[in-house]
Amino acid sequence: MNFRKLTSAAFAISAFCMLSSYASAQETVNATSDNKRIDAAWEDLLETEGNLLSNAQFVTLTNLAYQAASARVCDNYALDKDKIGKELDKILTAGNPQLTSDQNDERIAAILISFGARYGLFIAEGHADKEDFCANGDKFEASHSTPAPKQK
Amino acid sequence: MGRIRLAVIACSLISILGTHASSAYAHHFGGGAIAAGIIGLAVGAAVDDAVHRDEYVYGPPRPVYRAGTPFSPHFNVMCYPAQRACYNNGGYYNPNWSYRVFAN
Repeated sequence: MNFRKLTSAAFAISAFCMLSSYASAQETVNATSDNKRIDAAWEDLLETEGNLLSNAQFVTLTNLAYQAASARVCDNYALDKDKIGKELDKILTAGNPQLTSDQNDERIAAILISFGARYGLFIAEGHADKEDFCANGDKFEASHSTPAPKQK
Repeated sequence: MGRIRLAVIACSLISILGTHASSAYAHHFGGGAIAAGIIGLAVGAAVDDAVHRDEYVYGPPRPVYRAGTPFSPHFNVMCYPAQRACYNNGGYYNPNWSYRVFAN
């Protein structure tokens, strides 16, 4: 498995999630009065992930995907590629050294798929109420694990 | 897999996110690549199941993650353990509460 396949797979799944989720995002949001999370779509994704990463790593991965989606959906944000690339690299390189090359490739593919799926789901959620979604990004504070979105 | 190669992967992915997919990239979307990604997800599912876990491959098992039901740590925040994420009531994803609740 080469890196082109890995990134292609991640992007393909991301695109799939965007297409499949976006169509139902609005009605799902309307059905969920507490917030704008696309509950059913998230549950379908999460049931396959298990303990692939630690809690802290999952939070970082999700935050990175959220920032990437904010930069994609909102006009007022740009992607800080260097910072996000470094954070993503930390997760990708944190694998068990006992893994074979092929097993490590599978692990990396799974992480990239998880990242891409999160990216797609956040984009779908964002388009349900773009103005609110983009205003939400203004409240973002830099955490210990992830850089804040970079305003244009 | 060396760090340089991983850095290339990470940067390539970020580049994809920063720009629309080019037709050249779209050209490489194949069933094999997608299937490889789906198979990769089985790693996560397998790790979640201690009974079928290959300890030689994955190392000493972590405690199996049993996601709890959603809960509210603050009056206007709802957290989802399975996602390790929190959302604002009536709104969107809350990175800060997600970090505070699940990453510490």
